[in-house]
Amino acid sequence: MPGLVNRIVRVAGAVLLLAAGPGPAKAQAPVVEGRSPGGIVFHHVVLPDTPLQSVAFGWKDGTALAGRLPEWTGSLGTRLMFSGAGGLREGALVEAWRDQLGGANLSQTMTHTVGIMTVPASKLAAAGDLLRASLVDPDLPQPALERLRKQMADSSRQGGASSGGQARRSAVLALFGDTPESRFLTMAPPSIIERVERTDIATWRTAVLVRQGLVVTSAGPADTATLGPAIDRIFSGLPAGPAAAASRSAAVPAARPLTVAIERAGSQSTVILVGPVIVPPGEARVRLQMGLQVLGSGSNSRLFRVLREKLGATYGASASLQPVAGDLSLIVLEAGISTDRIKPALAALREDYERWRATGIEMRELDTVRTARIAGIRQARTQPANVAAALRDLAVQDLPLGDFDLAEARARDATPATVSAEISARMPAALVTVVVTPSATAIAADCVVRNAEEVAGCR
Amino acid sequence: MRLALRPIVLAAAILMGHGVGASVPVRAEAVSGLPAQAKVKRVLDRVYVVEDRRLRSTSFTMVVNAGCVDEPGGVCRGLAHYLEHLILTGRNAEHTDSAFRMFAGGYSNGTTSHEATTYIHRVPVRPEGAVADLEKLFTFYAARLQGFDITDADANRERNVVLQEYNLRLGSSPEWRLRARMLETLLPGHPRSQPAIGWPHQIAALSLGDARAFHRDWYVLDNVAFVVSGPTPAVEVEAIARKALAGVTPRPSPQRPPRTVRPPTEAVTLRDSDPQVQNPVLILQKLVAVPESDRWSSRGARLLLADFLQSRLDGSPHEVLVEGSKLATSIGLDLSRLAPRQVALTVRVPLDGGQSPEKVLEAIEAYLRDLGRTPIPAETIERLRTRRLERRVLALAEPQRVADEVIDWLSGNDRYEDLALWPDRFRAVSAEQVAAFAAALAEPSRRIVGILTPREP
Repeated sequence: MPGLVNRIVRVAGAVLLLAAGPGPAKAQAPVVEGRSPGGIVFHHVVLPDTPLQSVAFGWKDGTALAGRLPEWTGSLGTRLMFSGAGGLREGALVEAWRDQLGGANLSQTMTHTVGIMTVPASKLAAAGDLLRASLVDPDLPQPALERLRKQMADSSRQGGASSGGQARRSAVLALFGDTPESRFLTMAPPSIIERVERTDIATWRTAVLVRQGLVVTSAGPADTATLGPAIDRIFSGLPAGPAAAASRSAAVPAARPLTVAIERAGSQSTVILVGPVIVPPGEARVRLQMGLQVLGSGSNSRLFRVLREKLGATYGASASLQPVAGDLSLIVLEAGISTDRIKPALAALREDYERWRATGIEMRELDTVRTARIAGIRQARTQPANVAAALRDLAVQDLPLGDFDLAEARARDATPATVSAEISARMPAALVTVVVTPSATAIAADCVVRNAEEVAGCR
Repeated sequence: MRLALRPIVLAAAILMGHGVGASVPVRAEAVSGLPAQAKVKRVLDRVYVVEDRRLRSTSFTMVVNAGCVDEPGGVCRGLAHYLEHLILTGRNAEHTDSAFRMFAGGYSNGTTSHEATTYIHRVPVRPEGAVADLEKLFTFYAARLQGFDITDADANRERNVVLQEYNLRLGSSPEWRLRARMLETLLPGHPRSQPAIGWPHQIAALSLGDARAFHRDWYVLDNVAFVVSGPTPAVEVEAIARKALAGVTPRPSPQRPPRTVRPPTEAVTLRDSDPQVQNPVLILQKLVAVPESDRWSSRGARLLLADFLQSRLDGSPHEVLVEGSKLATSIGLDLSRLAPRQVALTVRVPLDGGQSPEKVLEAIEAYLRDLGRTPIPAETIERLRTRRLERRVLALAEPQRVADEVIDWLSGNDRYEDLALWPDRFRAVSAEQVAAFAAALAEPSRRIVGILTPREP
């Protein structure tokens, strides 16, 4: 299932490591602090068994919600910076990265701007020069901006046209209303994207991409002595500061027992149930994630058994916790459902959620997700991109780096009682339900509309 | 339960092959300081093992060299894929729950393409080792080569699950539906033009009896391979496999009829519109006859040419048509082998540059003509070749990628023995062979154009 929240920090495995972090089952390389010759502090994990080296970096970035720059300036800016730099036009830059057998990316979240570079360790210097060019000396070419604006506007239109896109956008609008938060979480309307100018991007870049407040982490076979000069080479050309202002807190929506049906033709119906969850990163979030795995992750989950194996109504259903910003996350239940079975399937989804919330989980279920989770943590810990991104995400949020080593222990220490208690305390009783279906007659909807934009009228 | 979605599968996403010799044009820094390379051991005729203590899980894969092209009458109805569902969801004596839940905390799935069906299980490494897990897996799949159990009710329910899989992955995509129609027009009556999952009316007609007959024909020891990766010593895997497979009754593999693509005929344009479509798009498919003195040089030339066509190098479609002519904001190209001496070229262009479809087509054809007349520079070919060879060296340092490569290779009905020879064959592909391949793209050939446009709900 695609994520409802499409612009959180997303490096595969990083979230797992961040939330849980590997533990002591097998001796793990420690997180060590390094300092470059130019004085940039970084945190590093040596991974000798991989040929790849990752360098992750990030800044606090309050511009996405601040309203001083057009919305989506940072998102366009992070892409435009790789559209030509250091004397290389866009195509030449793309091909130069391919020659290095690696890549780099930069993206804006609601509260931060983050990036990562992963290349063979032997190509660190050459790839670092390419990254430096994009960070320090980007061309920001106007034709590329026009093309990017058009591509993103087209993506916004197209993304909102599918059943899944309509359902997700409707659910976010029903929760948040038409706010900067909702426009950030789903693709912004083309009119907003088309408003971003080159000068806005230059202003954003100058305000955010500075040395003060820069977080750098790394993982791979290189040692800190080798990495220090490489890190200087990449980042020392950035302006000194001052650091960008931190983001305001994202508005927390109220949970709503609203059911919206969107009538439109389609080969199957799409169902999504969404609600806000306040849970800080750390132990409580790990417990909730494990609880949600029991409910709707994989073939052992309750939703798989009831919706697929009992009703034969779906190919797959999922339940997940999707971080928004800070302590705010969303619980998202989602499935594509056979239209002729939508009524019993929706009832089963709600019943299973309610039972899960009321009575929690059992030891047998927890053991299964614990095994999978710990295996995932250990696997992720072997991948430099996952490790560097997980450390970066801790550091940019001012969370203790020691959390990195606690994750396996947190997964191991969870009990049915502690997981069930978190579920009971934090999961909303009411969820917004959106069903995109050819006919709403089988659904007791509070509101029947034709598209996401009409959801604002549902009260 | 995953489905290989591409109607036409590009032979290899990365360069496949083993053992990079001293003559490899790989820059020294790319291979210096790498971790130890993983190795494949063939412990039995059809059992391959990547033994490596760096792996954090044990992976087991059974590759059945039977996909939808092998369905009765050479018509893809989705039978091979349906059978994959039945094998995984049936309750059998060796494992009385769904095979999806073979191991608590593990991963189990299957995938079906036009050529192969694969079953994969991953089990986290445990202190007690993986011997018992591997015994269970080999015993289970040895028994599945003899037969499978499932109730009629479960088989009927699973058919609707397959239908929902179709709806989720394919039926909901207007562009996929148009591409499928185009492919059927390009290759009329050929199973590779039909979706491996089948069309909804075909899925609705699938029966357990048909699935059992397909199983009887194709789930034969001589037609499967097993690939195991993990820290378990290869000698132990060999003993487990030997014992489990000893009881499998030998049966002959069915013969595959040769398939040919019908000769090119007239050009066709298909148009479709859909409320889900927001941005119009043009898709061009061409059936191209290519030179093929031998399969390997043809594969190498095709991979190198595809790399160029998908690049942003000077002279590439993106550089010429997107950056230069401003024809559109992007362009996508794919080159897929259909049969000996036959490839399909697919070009996708969003109609967002203000040009008419006719102008866009004209520009693409003009580009292809130029490409046929002006060979790609030899240094560009070497640059692309070097990237693939260097990526190959990197991949060898990751044991699971080495195992996955064997699985991909065997799933394409290629002989394991050829895998080791492939790098040398790839290295031997000349710039002239790539040029001849490129020139073929410009030749008149059967052409299907698809135009997808928005429509009011």
